Amino acid sequence: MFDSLVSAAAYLTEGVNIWYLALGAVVGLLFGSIPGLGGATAIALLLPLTFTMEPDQAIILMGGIMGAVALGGSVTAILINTPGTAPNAATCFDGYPLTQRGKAGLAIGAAATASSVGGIIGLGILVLVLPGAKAVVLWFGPPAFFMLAVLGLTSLTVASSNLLRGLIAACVGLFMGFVGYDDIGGTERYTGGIEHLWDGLSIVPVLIGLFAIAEMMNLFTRGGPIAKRSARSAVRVVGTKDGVMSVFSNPGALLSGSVIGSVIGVVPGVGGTVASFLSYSFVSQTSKDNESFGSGDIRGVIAPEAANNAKDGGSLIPTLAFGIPGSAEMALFLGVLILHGIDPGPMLLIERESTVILLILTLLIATLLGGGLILIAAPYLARIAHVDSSILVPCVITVSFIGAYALHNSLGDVIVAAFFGLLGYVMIRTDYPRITLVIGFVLSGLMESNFILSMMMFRGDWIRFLSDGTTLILFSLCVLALLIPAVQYLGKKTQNV
Amino acid sequence: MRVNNRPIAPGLIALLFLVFAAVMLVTAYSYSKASGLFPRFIGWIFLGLALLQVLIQLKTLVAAPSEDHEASTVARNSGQRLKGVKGFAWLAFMLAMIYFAGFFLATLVFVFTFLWISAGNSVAKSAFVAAITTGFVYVVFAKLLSYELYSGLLLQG
Repeated sequence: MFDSLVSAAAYLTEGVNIWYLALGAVVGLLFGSIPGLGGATAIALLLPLTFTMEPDQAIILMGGIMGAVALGGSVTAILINTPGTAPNAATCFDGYPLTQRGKAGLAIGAAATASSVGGIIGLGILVLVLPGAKAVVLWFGPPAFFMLAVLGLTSLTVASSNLLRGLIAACVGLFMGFVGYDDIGGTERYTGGIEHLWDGLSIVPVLIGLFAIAEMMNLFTRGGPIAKRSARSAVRVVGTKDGVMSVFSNPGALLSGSVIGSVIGVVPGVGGTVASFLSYSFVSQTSKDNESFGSGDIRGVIAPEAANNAKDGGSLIPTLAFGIPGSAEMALFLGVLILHGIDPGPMLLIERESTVILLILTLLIATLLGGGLILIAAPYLARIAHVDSSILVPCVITVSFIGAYALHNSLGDVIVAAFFGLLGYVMIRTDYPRITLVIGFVLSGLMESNFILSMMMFRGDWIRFLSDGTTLILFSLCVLALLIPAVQYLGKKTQNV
Repeated sequence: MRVNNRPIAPGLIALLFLVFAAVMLVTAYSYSKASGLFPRFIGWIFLGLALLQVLIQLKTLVAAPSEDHEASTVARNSGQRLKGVKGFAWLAFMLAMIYFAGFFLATLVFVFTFLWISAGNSVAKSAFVAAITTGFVYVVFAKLLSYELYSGLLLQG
C-alpha cells in the first residue's frame, strides 16, 4: 500500500494533474454553495470534460469536486440560512444564529476545519477497512453479489421520501439498463428498432439529463433568485482563527460527528443528511451545558459538518468494493469509472489499488484545499447563491447538451439527454426519487449477470438462492429494510388512534 | 385538470408507469429465455408496484378534498404547470436550433432569446451573456478539448 501511496502522490503532482484537482475543488465549492445544484449536477456537467483525459486524471477532477462540494454548502447555511446541499441543513440551526450575533467568522472557521478533519478521519477509517473489504469481496459469489445489489437498491429506496415511488423508479432504471444488445442471450432488447440504442443507453446523457437538465427545468419553473436575499447577505467574516481553534477545543463534537458520518456513509442511500442530523442530535443531547444549542453553539456547527464530510470515506466502501453506489454522487462517480474503462466492483480493489489510493489522496487534498478556500472566499460564495436563475438556466442547458453530444459525436445522445431531462423534471414534480432510477440503471448489468449465473448454478431452482448463509443474511436485511417504514407507519397510526 | 380540487398529474404519471411496466413485461416474453428471464422477473415486480401506486392515487383522487388544497395552492400549481410547459417548449426550441443551425449558433440564439423573451432582461444584457456563453463553448470545447461540434443541417453545405 505504501508504494501505491508514493506513486499516487507523485502522479498527483505531475504536470497539470494538481490543477485538475484545484479546478474540481473550486467547481465543487461553487456548485455546493448554489442551493439546488450540488455535487451530482457538478459531476454530470464536468463529465464531458474528462472524455479526453486519462482515467486517473478524470478521477482527480471528480475527486476534487466530491471532496469540496459539502464545504460550499456550509457557507450559505451559516451566512444566509440557506443550505447549499441538503446535508448542510443541520448546520443552519447554530450556524446562522452565530452569524446573527456577529460571529460568522467563528462559524465559518469551525465549519471549514471540522469538515476537513472529519473528511480526514472518514478517509482514515476507509484506509483501515479496505484491506478487510478485499477479503470479504473474494468471499462473495454471484448469489451474494446479486442480493447485495438488491440490498443496495432497497436501502436507497427506504431512505428516499416515498418507498413505493422509489421502488418504481428503481424498476424504471433497471429496464433502462436492459436497453440494447444483450451479451448473455445475444438478443437486441427494448430498442424499438432505433439504431442508436443498439449499444444501450450511454450513462453520460442519462446522468446529464436526470441531474443537470432536470434541475434547470425545476429552477426555471420556480423562477427568481436561487436563495432569497437577506439583510445579512453582505456580512463581514472575521474571527475565523478562533473558529479553527474551537474545533480542537471541542474534540467530543468533532470525533462523534466523524465516527457517526463514517458509519452512516457505509449504508447505501442513507447519506449525508441523516449523518449530519444524527450527529447534531447526538451532540446536542449528550453534551454538558446543552441549553445553548439552537441559538448559536459552535458544537452544533462542528458535529454536523464533521459528519457530512466523514461520510464520503464510508460511502466509498460499498462503491469501490462492491460497485454499489451509496449516494447520487457516488452513482455518478461510478459512471465516470465505467466511462473510462475501469470496472467498479470486487476486482478494482485487487487489481487497481493505486487508483483507489489516488482517489483517497485526491479527496483528502480537496477537503483541505476546500477548507482553506472557504476561509478566504466565504462572503463571495454566499453572494453566488443569489445569482438569478434565469441566467443560469440557458447557460447550463447549453453546456449540458454539448456535453451529451461530445462523447460519441451523436445527436442521438442529445435527444436522450433531453428525454431524461424531461423525465427527471416530472420525477421531481411528482416526488419520484431520481437517485433510485440512476442506481437501478447503473446496477442493472451487475444484477442481471449475477442473477443469470446464480440461476445456472442452482439449475433454475429459486429456493436455493437462500441456501447460502451470506445470501440469506443479505436477504433478511432487505426484508428488514422494507419492514422498517411499514412498522413506522403502523406506529404513527396507533399513536393517532 | 382536477378531481375534488386535487391535481391528477400524480395519478396520470402512475398510470403511465403502469402502462410502461405492462409493455416492458409483454415485450420481455418475446425474447429468448436467457435474454428475457431477468426482465420478466423485474417486470412482474414492476407491474405489481405500479398497480399499487395507481390504486393509491385513485383512492386519493376520490377522497374528500382537504384544507391543504386551497385556492392559492391551486393557482400556484397551475402557474408552475404553465411554466413547465414553457420549459419543455424552450428545450424543444434548443434541440431544433442544434439540428438546423449547429451548436455555436444554437447557443448564441437560445441564450439570447431565453434571457430576452423569457427572463425579461434587456437586449444588451441578453446579448452580453449569450456572447460570453458562446465564447466559453468555443474556447473550452472547440479549442481546448478539440471536440468536433455539429455544425447544423443548414450550415453543413
